[in-house]
Amino acid sequence: MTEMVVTALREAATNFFQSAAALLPRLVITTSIVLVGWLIATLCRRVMRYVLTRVGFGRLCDRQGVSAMLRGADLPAAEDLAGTIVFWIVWIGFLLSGVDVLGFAALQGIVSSFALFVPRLLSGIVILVVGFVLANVAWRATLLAAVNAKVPSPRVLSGTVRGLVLILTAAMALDQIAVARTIVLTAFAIAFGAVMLGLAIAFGVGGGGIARRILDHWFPERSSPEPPEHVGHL
Amino acid sequence: MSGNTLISDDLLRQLVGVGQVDLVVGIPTLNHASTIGDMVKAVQTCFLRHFPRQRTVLIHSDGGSTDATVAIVRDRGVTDADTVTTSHGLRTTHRISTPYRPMPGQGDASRLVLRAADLLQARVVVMLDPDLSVTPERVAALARPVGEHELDFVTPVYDRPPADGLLVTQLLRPLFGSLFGRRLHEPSASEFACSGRFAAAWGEDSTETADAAADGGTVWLTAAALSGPFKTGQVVLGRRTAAAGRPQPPLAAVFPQIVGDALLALAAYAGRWTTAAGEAVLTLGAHRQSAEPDSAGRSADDGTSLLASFADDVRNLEDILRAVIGPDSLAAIVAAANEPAPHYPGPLWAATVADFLVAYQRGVMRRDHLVQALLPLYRARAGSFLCTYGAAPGDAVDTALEDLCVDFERIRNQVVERWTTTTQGR
Repeated sequence: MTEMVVTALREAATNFFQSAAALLPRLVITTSIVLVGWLIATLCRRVMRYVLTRVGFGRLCDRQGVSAMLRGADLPAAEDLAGTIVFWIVWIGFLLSGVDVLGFAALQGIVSSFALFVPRLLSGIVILVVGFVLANVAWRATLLAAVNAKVPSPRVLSGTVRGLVLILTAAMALDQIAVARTIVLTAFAIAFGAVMLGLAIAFGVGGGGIARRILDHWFPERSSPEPPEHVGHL
Repeated sequence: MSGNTLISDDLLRQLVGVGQVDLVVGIPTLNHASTIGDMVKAVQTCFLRHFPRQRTVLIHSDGGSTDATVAIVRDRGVTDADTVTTSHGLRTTHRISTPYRPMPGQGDASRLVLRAADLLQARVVVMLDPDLSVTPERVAALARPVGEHELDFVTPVYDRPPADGLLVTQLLRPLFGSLFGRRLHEPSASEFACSGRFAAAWGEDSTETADAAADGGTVWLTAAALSGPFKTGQVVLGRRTAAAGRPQPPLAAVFPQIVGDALLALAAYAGRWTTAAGEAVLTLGAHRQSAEPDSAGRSADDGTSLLASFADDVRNLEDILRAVIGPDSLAAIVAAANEPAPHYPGPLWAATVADFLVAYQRGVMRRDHLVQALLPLYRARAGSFLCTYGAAPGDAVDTALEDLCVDFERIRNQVVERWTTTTQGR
């Protein structure tokens, strides 16, 4: 009986040490991969930041209003943000490669899944950036045109335009990275429909006067014209 | 677009047929049937009455009129009896009618005429505006200084009442005068005269600047004249009167076009105005800069109406203005807009324009958005000026306009420094 217990314990100890002996080199490799990955990712972040600074990416973002939006959201400058995104993508790639080396069955295939996910993630980020730029340009153009055309409530109008573009962008980006596609699609359809319906009802019920003023402004021949400006600008 | 592509084969044939001339008068048109007849008649009379010994040509460049403009020019004889009232020409008078690519600002039309004048080796070129009333004497008054005083670029000086030409008096005149160090009363005049030397320099310019200027208006020519080695002058023409039946274009249409052109031109010639101020401008003729107001009460009312939306506009555009205007200036604008009697003082207006100019160079936002953001502020400044001086006598208006020019000149060094710093940072 005692001999059996001793034999079992010896076998268990032998197995443990064999497993540990097999795992130790892999741990060292994993650690090395993670460390080298961190160095490479840091280098990538710096290179990305340097290149973007050199090509005037910050000025472009300033011009398109992206910088202002990032500041408003307490995010770093556009060059830093792009560098950080690159850093994490590269480092997570190395991290997963390192974990893969350990050979845990539960984590098998995670690297290939991540490799498939990265392009979609990048596409999603590009869609988000383009969407932010478009939303901001549309907001500014709408606001300026509305103010100069004396349309009532120009900020509400331009904010609505920006909100709709951002909602559309977010839905497209989430769809691209395939995060809960069905839920996103359904939520977007419901939210968009609700917003449109709400706007239509609100405008119909409470905005008759505003609609009349807007139509009077846009189609002056159908109503009494505004008194002409007796001022020469040229 | 280079100068050569402007000249079609047909136009070139007509120019060869004309040969060398002394005086070219150009008229760009686009559906000007109501005014072109009188204008051609005035030019013909001017040729015969004031330049009988000169070889002259009228170049009519049409942007694709769908009315009878071209037919009227074609059918009107060169020596119509009704135009020969006082004398007969001793030299042949020619007339050329040619199409041009219609663009806002008539820049291409001007360039075509200047290029044609260069090919004709003209000594004097006069460009007229078919939207303005013109007489033979006004054409002659524009043309003469080029030959008699050897000037290269001559613009008019108008006797304007306070409510007339506000875009010129409140923005373009002080801005160009401050930056170039030479005050021209009308930097964007649609009628002007220039020498053959200037026409040749402008027509042969095939740089990107010229390409950009092709779609622009007279501000480009003014900037070129003030920047280059050209003698610049201005001549008093009296009142600026719109031709009968020609409505003035809405501010929302002309402001983006002219101010956008001005920004482009100032950026293109920044290398000149940031480094040196030019020579003085020769002014010919006695003038009172500002005429008495046509209707004092109406001007003040218009000023109030222009200022009415000042506070709302600033509040609505605050997010955009914050990216353009410095915090101190913006705070001052907000305060001025929200006072019981809103006003827009000259120094604050000058600082605002300087901020917009630098913001354009820094690329803070698209040019058209920048110009649209300036429009409500310009309206407020124009309204503020009219409220104060709409009913004032001419002398007081002159003093106020002079003060505004001084306000702009005070911030010149600051603008140059900020502009240069941004350029060097690139």
